[in-house]
Amino acid sequence: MKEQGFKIPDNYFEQRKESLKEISQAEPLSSKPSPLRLWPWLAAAASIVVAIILFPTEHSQDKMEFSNLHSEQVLEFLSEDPYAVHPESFLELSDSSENDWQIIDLQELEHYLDNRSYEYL
Amino acid sequence: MQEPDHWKAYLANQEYDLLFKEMVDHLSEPLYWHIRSIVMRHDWADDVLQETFIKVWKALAKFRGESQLYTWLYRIASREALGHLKKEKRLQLGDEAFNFQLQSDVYFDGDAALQALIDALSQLPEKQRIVFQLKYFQNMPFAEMSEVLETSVGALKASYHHAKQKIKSQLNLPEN
Repeated sequence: MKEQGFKIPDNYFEQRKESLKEISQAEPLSSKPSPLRLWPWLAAAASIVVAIILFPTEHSQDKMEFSNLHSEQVLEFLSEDPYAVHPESFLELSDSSENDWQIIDLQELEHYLDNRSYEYL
Repeated sequence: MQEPDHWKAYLANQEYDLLFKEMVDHLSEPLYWHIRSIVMRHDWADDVLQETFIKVWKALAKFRGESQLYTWLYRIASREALGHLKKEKRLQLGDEAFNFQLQSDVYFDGDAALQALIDALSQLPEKQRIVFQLKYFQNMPFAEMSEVLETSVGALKASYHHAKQKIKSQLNLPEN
């Protein structure tokens, strides 16, 4: 640049270097973290707070809401073997004859349902 | 540019004063010319050099050695130089093009061709202007410029290409 017409005062660098070195005596050396470096930590903390507020906890996710059900979950549920899940919910009927219905004691049946139905309501 | 090996040792041993003085000795002259190639005027370059070393001193204890010290200094100097030009631009109300005001710089005596080039440069968008200035006045390699300006080499080359085309057009030079 010098050759192109950009000049400097005589002995500029010799004198400038000395005055620049004095900066270390005049200015305090900062060792505190700069405010800019605190930003990532503050941003991370804010994100965690927002996540806690907006997203459901693990416990609340366990509750099944009908409106939240996906069709895949419904199909999976329906395809499960009902006997394996709740065997006591099915009355064991004799396969000998349809007339066996006639001999079921209605009182006994009502008593059974009264005692068991709470499990499925 | 290769920096002395013992600078990292100074840093590790927290011998900041020694390190700072050596950096002034080794780097103030090349840094001055780097700054001058951006701001053009001597008095602005002198102010920016002072501000750069104040910033360097204040931040030296926090330097984590992720880059070479000289790269870090050049980055600070580049930011300070660009910041200085922005400040000057704000003061130049109503002017579309940036005015380096070289007519009032007693340390500038470029010929008519250089003056015409600088007038053409002042019409360019900032990024294109800086890339062209660093290439033309400092012949800085794109890879080094990329580190200093924290911009990709591809983007710098594209800016340089556009700048060159616009300057040729401004100066009525042939395209090739």
